[in-house]
Amino acid sequence: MTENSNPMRIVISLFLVVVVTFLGYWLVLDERKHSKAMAYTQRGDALSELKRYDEAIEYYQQAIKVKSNYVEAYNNLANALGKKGKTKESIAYYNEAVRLKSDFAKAYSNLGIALSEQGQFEEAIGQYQKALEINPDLFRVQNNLAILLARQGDFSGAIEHYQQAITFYPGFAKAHNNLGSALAAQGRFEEAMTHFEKALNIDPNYIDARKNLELARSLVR
Amino acid sequence: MEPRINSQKTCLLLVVGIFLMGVVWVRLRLLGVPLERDEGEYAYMAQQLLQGILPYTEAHSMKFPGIYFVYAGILAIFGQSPVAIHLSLLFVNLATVFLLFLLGRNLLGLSAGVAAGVSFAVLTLSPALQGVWANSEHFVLLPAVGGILLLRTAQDRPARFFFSGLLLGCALLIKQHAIFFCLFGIMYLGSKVVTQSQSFKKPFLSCGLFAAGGLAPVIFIALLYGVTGNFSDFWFCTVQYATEYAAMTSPDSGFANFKYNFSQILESNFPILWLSLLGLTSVAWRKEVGREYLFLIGFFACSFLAITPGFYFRPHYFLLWMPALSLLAGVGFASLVSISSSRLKTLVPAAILTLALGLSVWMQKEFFFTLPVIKATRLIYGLNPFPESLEIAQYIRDHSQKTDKIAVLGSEPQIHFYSQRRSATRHLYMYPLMEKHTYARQMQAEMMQEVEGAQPKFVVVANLSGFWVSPDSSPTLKDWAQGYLDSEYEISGVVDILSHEETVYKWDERGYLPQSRYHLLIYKRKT
Repeated sequence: MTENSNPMRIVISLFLVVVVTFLGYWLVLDERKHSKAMAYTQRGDALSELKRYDEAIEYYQQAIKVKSNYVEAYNNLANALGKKGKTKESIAYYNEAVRLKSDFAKAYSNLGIALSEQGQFEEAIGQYQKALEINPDLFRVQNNLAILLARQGDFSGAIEHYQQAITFYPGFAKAHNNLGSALAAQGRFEEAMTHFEKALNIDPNYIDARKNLELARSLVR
Repeated sequence: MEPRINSQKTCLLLVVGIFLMGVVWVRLRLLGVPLERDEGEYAYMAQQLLQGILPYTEAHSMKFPGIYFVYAGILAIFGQSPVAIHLSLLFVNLATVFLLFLLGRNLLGLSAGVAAGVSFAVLTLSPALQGVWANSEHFVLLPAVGGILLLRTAQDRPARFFFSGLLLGCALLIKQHAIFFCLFGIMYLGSKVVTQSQSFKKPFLSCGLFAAGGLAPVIFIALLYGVTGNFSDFWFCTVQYATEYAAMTSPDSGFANFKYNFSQILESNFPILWLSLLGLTSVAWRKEVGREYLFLIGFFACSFLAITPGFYFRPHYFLLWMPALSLLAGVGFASLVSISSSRLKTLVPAAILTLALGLSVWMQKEFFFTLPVIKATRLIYGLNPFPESLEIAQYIRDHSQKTDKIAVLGSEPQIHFYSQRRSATRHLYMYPLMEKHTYARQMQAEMMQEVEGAQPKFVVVANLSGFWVSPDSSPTLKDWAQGYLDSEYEISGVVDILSHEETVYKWDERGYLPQSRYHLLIYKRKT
């Protein structure tokens, strides 16, 4: 030892070296697990794209086995289960995903869709709202939420969300058409016609929008 | 005693010489790696600069302009090719190694300096840091380390204070992150004045000269843009948008980014980083190291801060931390040597250094010694079209006039550089247009307008697995591109990146459908 070393300081330093070394070791191991889980999930995604959902589900489950808090795997597993018609199981996995990551907007949105398919509209609205609290730019979620609100007769709420959807994505023909319908339901036919026309400008083959426009015109006359 | 010291030095220098030669050999072997997109941006902007076009006037970028001036110098001296750019990086890296050796020697003697320098050379070569690509961080480090070295050795020599500030100011001008090296300089100088540990005859003059040197490059650039009437472009890109960019990542995601990239660096370089850790703790138990605690801890902390802006923690950002970690590795090495038995003092230093550096090199041996340049690029960047950009650019160059413009709907500015064709739009990257910030829509509208106005001869669309069109982003730009390209352009080339080994190129052939999710479509304007 050097003549100027203090034994206590040496012990503390050694302790620190050991602690940080273990921390580093844990970091590397954890990241290896993460990479493995990510690789399984990506493989699952590729299989999902090919509609080979059974195999995809196996890969997602492997990912979860390797890293039990890998939220992407939960979400994507839930998606695949949903495609297989196992909506209840898929809802359970979405719930697990949002429990592990409370700001996982995509999972809230997917959960909303699954609940909506189950006819649990109130709960679905709640999940869409959570997704939008995290990211208000999710224009498809704005549209989905508005559809459910309109279904419940809350046209003012629906109009607000349709408008937010088209503000973010002005080329969203469906949202223009839906907004037109909500406005028409409130008796605001002139405004409704403007949005049906916009939907038709974006997609001239949009039959629903054309029919709605004609209906609105006839009602105005 | 004297012969032992000499043989110790000889052994040590032999080891260092071998590793440095190895580093040079690896860099020479990988000189031909294709440019990645940041390099492509620097090279394209530098190419424009050489034609008299100031950065930000015809191309947006949030980086300070120093890197473009540096690249312009490189292109002018070494030529306009990836090899030329990477050769210049070799020189810059070696110069930084030398400065770090001087700094280490000044701090704690020859062995610490030697170990710091060679550790830096090995660490900055690491694929986990994307070290063989000429990222701006390499060019920040040379003036930053030079400035700090001058500051340490300034004593009462006024010119050194000025040049120290000047070098740190130049580092800042290359990348905003270097502000933390400037901060370290200010804090270090301030501590010297306050504690009077350095006998300053004229503290105000020294501090004033340091500040004047530091501000000189910044004022020069501000004046340059002010006089040419482009200050608002410069300000928007480097301050307004850059501020938005830096605020986009949450601390949670930031931690995940740090963990992901640092673990890879740690995994492949742990012996050297373990020496750094030892060096850091030896501040507490070695008096000669403890005397320099302010410098060592301060430099370590400020260098860490330099990698944090925006919480992106991209692999090459970590390069900014490497001088501090290398210095600490040098300190750790010197500390280990100091506690080794005096009988073994001839061999122990060389053995420790060989083990630490050798293990790091061995763990990365495939990248360093075996993989051909394209495979080495694939290993780091996956299916990004960096190798393909050369052939795409060649096709564009062969089928267009020098005055023709091109557009790239993606983030591949290296295509502009290789093809030597100007961009139809100021937006070389699509990232800023698709990110969530105040200016995204304005930027999208600008891009659409600029492309339609310029009527580029070729438009390259990079479809890289939903790279720039994520389900969460507004499809406005995608809709526009689809409509515009369908009406005014026809596909003249398809580049289908099937795997790490295989890419299919189809030029002037109709009907080929890409198989891969990573493909590029080259559209030619209808005549």
